[in-house]
Amino acid sequence: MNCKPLDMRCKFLIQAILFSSIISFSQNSEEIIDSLKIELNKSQNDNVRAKIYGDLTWYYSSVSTDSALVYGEKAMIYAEKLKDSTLLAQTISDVGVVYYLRGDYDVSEQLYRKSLKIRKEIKDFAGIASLNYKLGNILYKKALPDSSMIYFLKALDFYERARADMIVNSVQSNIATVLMTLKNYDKALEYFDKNIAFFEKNNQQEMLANVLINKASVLLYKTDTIQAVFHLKKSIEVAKKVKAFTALGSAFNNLGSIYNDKKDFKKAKEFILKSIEIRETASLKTELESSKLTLAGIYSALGEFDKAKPILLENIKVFIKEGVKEKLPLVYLQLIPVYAYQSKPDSVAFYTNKYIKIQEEMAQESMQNITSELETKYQTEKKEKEILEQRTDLAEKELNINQKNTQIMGLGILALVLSLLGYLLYKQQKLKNQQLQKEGELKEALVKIETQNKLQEQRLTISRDLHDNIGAQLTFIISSIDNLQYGFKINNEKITSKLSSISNFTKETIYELRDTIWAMNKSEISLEDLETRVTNYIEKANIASANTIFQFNVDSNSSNEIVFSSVQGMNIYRIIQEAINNSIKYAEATSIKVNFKHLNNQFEISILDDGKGFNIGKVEFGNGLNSMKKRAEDIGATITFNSSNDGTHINLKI
Amino acid sequence: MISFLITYLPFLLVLIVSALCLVLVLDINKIKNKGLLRLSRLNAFLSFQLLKNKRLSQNIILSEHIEKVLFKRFLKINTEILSLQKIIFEL
Repeated sequence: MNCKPLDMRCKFLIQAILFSSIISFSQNSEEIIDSLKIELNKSQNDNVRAKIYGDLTWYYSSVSTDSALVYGEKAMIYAEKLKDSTLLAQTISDVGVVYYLRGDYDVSEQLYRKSLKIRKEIKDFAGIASLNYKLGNILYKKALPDSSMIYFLKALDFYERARADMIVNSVQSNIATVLMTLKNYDKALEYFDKNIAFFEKNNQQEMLANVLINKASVLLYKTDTIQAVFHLKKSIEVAKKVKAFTALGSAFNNLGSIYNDKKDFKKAKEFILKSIEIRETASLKTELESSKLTLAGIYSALGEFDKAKPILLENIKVFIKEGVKEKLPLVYLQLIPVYAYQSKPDSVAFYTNKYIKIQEEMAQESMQNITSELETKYQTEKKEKEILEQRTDLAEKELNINQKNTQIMGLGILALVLSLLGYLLYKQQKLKNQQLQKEGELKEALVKIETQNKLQEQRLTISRDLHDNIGAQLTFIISSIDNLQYGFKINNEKITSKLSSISNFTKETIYELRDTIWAMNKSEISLEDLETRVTNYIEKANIASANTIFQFNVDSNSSNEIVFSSVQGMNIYRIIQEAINNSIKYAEATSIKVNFKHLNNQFEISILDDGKGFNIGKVEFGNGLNSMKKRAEDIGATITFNSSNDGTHINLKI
Repeated sequence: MISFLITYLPFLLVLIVSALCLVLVLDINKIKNKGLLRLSRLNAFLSFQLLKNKRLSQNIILSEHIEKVLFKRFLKINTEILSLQKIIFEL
């Protein structure tokens, strides 16, 4: 099996899939272009205009690549001006397609890569997959099947996850073609089988016919002629149904070639003639000449050189015109036996030379291509290595930066924590100092108060000794007077009266001293203490003034919790004593009432008598009343005097 | 390893200093509580002394007062005794 027809189909397959979408819209593209131009003239909005320019680029790509490039450039300018990354990436990609269609694969690849970079930045995953697909095609065109495969697989991964079955099949077809180029026939067959299943399921007959032809080609490479013939016949069936002339012509031509190789010239001629007929109808010039070349080969094999010669000469013209250089050696080779049969040695020599020369040229070209491919591979690998090195450098730098950032962050945190530590230390010291200061102040106050207390205690001790001595002396005086009175039987009334007066006065002094000692011995005087003291006093007064009725009432509400300081207790007692004394001595009262009451946090003491009273306005306050008033003031109490002919009422509130 | 240590040394120091901070915070609390306890004891003792002082002052007031009274009364007793002597001598 000659591999050249196969190569042609490989080429056909790629184009058929990549441009299937373009072909589908090209029928309506002129109408769309017109409507877009009308819209462009109407619109003043930059966003809308940019979008229209982008659309015009795409639709013009199937009509006029020059116009497409003009609009593409405008769309790119607008997209850059608007900073619309999505539109910019799309436009660059569309312009890349235009260059692809023009056969300028280098520029196309550059544009695709630029668009890919933008789409990666904006994370447009669908766009990235589309560009991977396109880059796969470009790299296949540039005879870099390995790289092409990588991009196709990336695209396939995305479309499979996106469940875009139609595109998945297109990508799989292209992968199969690349695999065929890489001579991985089994894997290629796997992909073609998947394609066949999909196109059958979706009733896409024309595509099915094409894939069947490709599968047949792979089978031929695997020398499975029977299966190849089977698939080609199946392809013919399918193509006939949908009138897919291109596929039909190829299928018949390939069948003819197979039978030609099998020396079954009759069948071969039959299929080739059918192929010629179809290709003539479909105006497929190059393909038609290929079929004719095969037919010429059959004629030569059958010894019908006269029939083969005009076909071959026509072949030369068409192949040279169409630039199908690779077919020419076969034509020259077939012309040699034709001229040999006609006994034209010069022509034989001419075409032999031509054949050798073109073979050499082709070999040279092939060598150049291989060298170029190797060079490209070398350059690619070199670039990849450089990229890898750069990436390593970048990674190292990034790592260094990360480390530095981490260090800076750590130092920052450390600084913060150290500040906190400093603040805490300061606070600790401050707290300590504050506490020491407070403690010092308290201790100082304590020392002062303790000293004062000691002094007062000493003073009180001296006072107590003095009081004891005075008490003893007073008792001695009373005793001496009593001895004088009763021991010497003094009859002089004046002396007796004087002695009694001194004795009574001294006794009063002793009582007063005892009262004070009583108060001083108590740290505080409770209401109960005061009650007892007053009761004692009233009892004594009652003995001294038997005609007077005494009443002492204590309010039951009065709380036992009421306590007075010694001064307060002493002064209250003295006021009561003075009031009772006045009632007996001056008011000649027959009834004296002493009441203790507790009202609203106030303790009230009232002394009432039914004596003759006194006129507060006229009577000058004697020592007794003044003394009561002063004592009340000393303890912060208020004292009131109410007196009339019916009696006197003294009220003390504390 | 050394690079790793250098990179993460500040964090190690942060950990150590944080631990110190924690210790310090605990210490501050301890000082605060201890100080409060000591101050409250001193305050209680001072209050007691003040109360004692108040009572002593009251007693001093009473003592001073009774001393004045006694002085007056002794004066009067003296006068009375003198007048008694005069009566006796006049007889």
